[in-house]
Amino acid sequence: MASQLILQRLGLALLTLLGVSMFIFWTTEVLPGDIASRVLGRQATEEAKQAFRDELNLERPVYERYGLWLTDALRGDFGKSLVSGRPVVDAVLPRLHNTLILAGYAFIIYVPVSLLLAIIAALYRDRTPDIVVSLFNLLGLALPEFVLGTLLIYVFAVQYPLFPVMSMIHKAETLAQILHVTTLPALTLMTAMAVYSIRMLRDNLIEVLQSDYILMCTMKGLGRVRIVILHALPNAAIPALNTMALNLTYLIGGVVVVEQVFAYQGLGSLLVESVFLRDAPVIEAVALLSSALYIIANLVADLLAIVLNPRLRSR
Amino acid sequence: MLKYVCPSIARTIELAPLHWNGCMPQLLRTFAFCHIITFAIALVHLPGATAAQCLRYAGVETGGELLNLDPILQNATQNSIMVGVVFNRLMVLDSDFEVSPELAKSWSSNTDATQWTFHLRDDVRWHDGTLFTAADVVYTYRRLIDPTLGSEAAATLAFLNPDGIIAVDDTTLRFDLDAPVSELPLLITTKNTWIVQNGAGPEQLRLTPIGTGPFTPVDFNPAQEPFLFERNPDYWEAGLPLSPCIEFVAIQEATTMAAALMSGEVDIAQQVDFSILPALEHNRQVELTATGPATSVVLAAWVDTPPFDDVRVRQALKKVIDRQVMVETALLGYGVIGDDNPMPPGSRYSWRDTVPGPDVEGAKALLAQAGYNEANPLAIELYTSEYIPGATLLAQIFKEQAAAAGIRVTLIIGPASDYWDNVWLKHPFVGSGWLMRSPGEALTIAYRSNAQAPETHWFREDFDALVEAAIREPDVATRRALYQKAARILSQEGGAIIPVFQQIVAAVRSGCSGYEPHVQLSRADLRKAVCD
Amino acid sequence: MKTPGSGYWSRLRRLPPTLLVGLALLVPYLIVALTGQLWAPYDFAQIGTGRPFSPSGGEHWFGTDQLGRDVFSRVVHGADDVLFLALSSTLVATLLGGVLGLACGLLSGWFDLVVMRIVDALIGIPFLIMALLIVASSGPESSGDFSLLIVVVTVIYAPRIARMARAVAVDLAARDFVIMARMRGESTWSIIWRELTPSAAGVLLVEFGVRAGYAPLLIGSLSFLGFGVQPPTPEWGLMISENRSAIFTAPMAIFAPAAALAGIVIALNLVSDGVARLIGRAKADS
Repeated sequence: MASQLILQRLGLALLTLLGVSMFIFWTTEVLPGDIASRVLGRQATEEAKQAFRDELNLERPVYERYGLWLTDALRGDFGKSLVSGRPVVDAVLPRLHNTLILAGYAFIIYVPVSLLLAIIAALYRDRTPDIVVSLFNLLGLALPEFVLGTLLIYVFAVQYPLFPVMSMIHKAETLAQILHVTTLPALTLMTAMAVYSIRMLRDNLIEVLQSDYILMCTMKGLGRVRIVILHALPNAAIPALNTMALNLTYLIGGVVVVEQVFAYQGLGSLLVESVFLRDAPVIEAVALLSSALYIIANLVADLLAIVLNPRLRSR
Repeated sequence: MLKYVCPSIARTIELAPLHWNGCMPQLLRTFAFCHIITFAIALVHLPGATAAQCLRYAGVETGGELLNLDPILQNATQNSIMVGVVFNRLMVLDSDFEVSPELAKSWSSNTDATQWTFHLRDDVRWHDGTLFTAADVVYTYRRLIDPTLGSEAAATLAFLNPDGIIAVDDTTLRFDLDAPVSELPLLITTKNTWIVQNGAGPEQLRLTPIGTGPFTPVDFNPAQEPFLFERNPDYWEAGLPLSPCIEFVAIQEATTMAAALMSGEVDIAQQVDFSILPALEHNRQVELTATGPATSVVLAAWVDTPPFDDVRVRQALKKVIDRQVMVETALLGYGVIGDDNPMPPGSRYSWRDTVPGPDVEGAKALLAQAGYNEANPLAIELYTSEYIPGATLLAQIFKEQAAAAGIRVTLIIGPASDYWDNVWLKHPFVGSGWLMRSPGEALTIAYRSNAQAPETHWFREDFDALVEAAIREPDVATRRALYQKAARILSQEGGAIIPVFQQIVAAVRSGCSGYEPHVQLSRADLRKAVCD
Repeated sequence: MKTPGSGYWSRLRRLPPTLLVGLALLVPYLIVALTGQLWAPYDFAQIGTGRPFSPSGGEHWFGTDQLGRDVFSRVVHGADDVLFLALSSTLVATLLGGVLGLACGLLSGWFDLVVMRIVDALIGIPFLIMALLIVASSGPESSGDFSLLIVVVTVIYAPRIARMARAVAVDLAARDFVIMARMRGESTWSIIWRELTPSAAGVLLVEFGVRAGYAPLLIGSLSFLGFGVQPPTPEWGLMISENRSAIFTAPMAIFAPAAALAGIVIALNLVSDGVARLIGRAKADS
């Protein structure tokens, strides 16, 4: 039963991935703009630009190129950058590595902080702790990441030099150094994501805490904390799992602003640079990667939801 | 401290109406919260950034996959600086566009400037140990003008004939030209003209170039900053370079650049954005140095398209601008007013030293003559974007100032990334900008009839004649007079409005010395730069 | 004598406090948006009214920006742009996403499967890239166009709202009153409109409130990268981005629009929260 459901979900995930790849490929190829002028510069001669374009085989029809690209990609060959001629993988891997570190760090601090603040806000509903948490939440919502990031730099890197201004991840070797260098951007990201989850978790938790199910647990004499963590939280968290998955996509591709403020070399800035240069293979590879990660995250969230909520298994 | 913090949190939660019991949940809770706090404390007490031995040089553009160390393809300024520490040119160009010897010891030409001879140094070695010879120079220049290799230098060096570049012997080089070129030394020292080894191919030059310069690249990978370059121990200039190594980084965010300078994480910043200058001006950690007039900001109108085809309209647009206000607001004082031609007022080639201030009444009178008045106002569209820092600010100022004379300017501001491709050269009135160049280059690149970038659709035989005569003229004083005449015509009748020249402001951390910014962003001399 | 609890004032007091606070905060914004043009001391594009980046004080309550423009006037002028952009784009997104999601939840089967795959695919593409691609494909003439930005925000928000609406609809579709409506032979559209929407309204309203609050920030991020509203529009997100270098010397140039933005975000959130509670209460009462 459950395994059938899992297979179904998996199949749908793959289909979605295929759809995304088509959409991305099509939009990238359709983007106006001449790659030759961007690479060779505005002062290059027209014949040089034409020679460059000819080498890239841009004349063949879109679906043919899509097919070629797809079959190559399945073998792990994402082609070569139109700009540098290097394999796309060489350009993407170091950035992916950096992004995963930052994303992982941000996610690891984001989950417990969200849970904790949501629990406090729910338990002390409408009293001081709740109001304080809600206020900070709204403030975090209202501050754009670049302002928050710049503020953090100003306070914790310039005024009180505890952390470096630029996140030079390439120079960090030990785990401690890596964490030291990525803390400020991770904090910025954590705040940006937490503001959504805290609110949602708090609302859900309040609703669940008022339900009959919890009343029954209390009457059975179970401890308060046990109730909150083992019974109420799983139910409240299920709808929030999707938000958490969404936040993962944000972490992969949406953090360009944070990357720019902290001079961090991640996938977000690679994506923007490639769009600027019209380097189609790189754009396609990165966009596909982040969509794939999102789909996987969603799949995990769905499966977790099924595990946590037996009612869903028979659907 | 931890024991104190966490139990108190537990106690707070105890104040909740229901009871708290069981030790497992308590451990879980304590663990969750405490690990965050421990983390935070541990991180803060970590030793700070390791002491810097390398000179840390920060540029503004990143470049990504565009970055490569082959001199013929230089599209990002950061890139050019890096190439510049790996290679040498025949001669060095300073901020006044005077040439001095580098790989070439001396040079001379015949009387009509159709044949130039260069004597090269004999004590220069490539990074792989082989000796530098004239054959390397021949190969380099032939590469530059080869149309299949696609260098932008091909256009500016179009006067060279590949068969006319001759290695007479190992240390003597000759250029045989089809037509006289009196400023040859200037023109062969343009952006891409670093000397590469005879036979070096694009693949090798891209990532693992071999040059004669003061530094060598270490594992150059465009996807991974910072880019490390280390000292060449056998560099032919004794005692140089002073720094053991250089690290190049790119910081796009102005505030991050300022923060990095203030906290000592960056030693030299090539160009500081104007908006952040007030913050750095009073900071004792940072010294600011500015060049003379450098990059120009241009509003280019097609002189063959209405309404700009009427010279009175063009003159009115020029009269309406308060150039001093532009310098003081958009450039925060770090600029020089321009005179609607590529030679800034006060320079050797300018036709007048001062530019009159704005004349709104005069502009209105000219417009009236051209048929525009309150009932029929002049309405124009200006396409622009933030293609260089301050460009959109300047456009906004222009719009406001033009409104004073009844001119309605509609600004169409697009994204900077698309600008050169989709907008520039495609509309009758666009914003543009140029790095400072020698007059010969500047006048031919945009204003001569066969210009590569005919920004203003200006095709005037008398102007062309002046410029061509100047290029051939061996006598310096006569040449200057010819350029001045050309400048005057452009100023008074041309379609280009050049209200300001930006200055390039570099920031150097106190404790560092030996660095002066160059008027052209693509050049930087890092041989004598060193930090304690 | 009036019966307790039926007077105008006491009815007002029984409204959820968040709604009251939110409205109290929102009303000044509306007033400024509608009348600001009349009484702001300077025009929003007027340059040189003071020294560039001068701190707050004297004539310029919030100081000036790099072109010497009065920040206070620009904040005031920007109110209508911000409100219009945020509310209209989120409204379009909520209507589109809401209807689509409700339909999917109700209909299941092929329609649900296909539309949800498309929705998932759209969500999976990082939103900044989506915005970049849309803006880049539409050329420079339409850059800064409000309608283009509304399209961008809709394409980003509608799929997410659709997902939420679908979840609600799936839940509701199993309830008795919907099953009965189906048995009565009501058309899909009428079920969506008459049965689902009232129940889903609370969730949708909260979605609307939260997203409307984020919309100016989204547009601000786009402007930060050069793809959003174009100067000299005094949109608060753009102002924060344009003046961000002043953080060390004239911080009011950033904090004034940031505070204005925060205020509207909080106001919209509180109002939507309050309305949701009101609806919840009305449901409980009925």
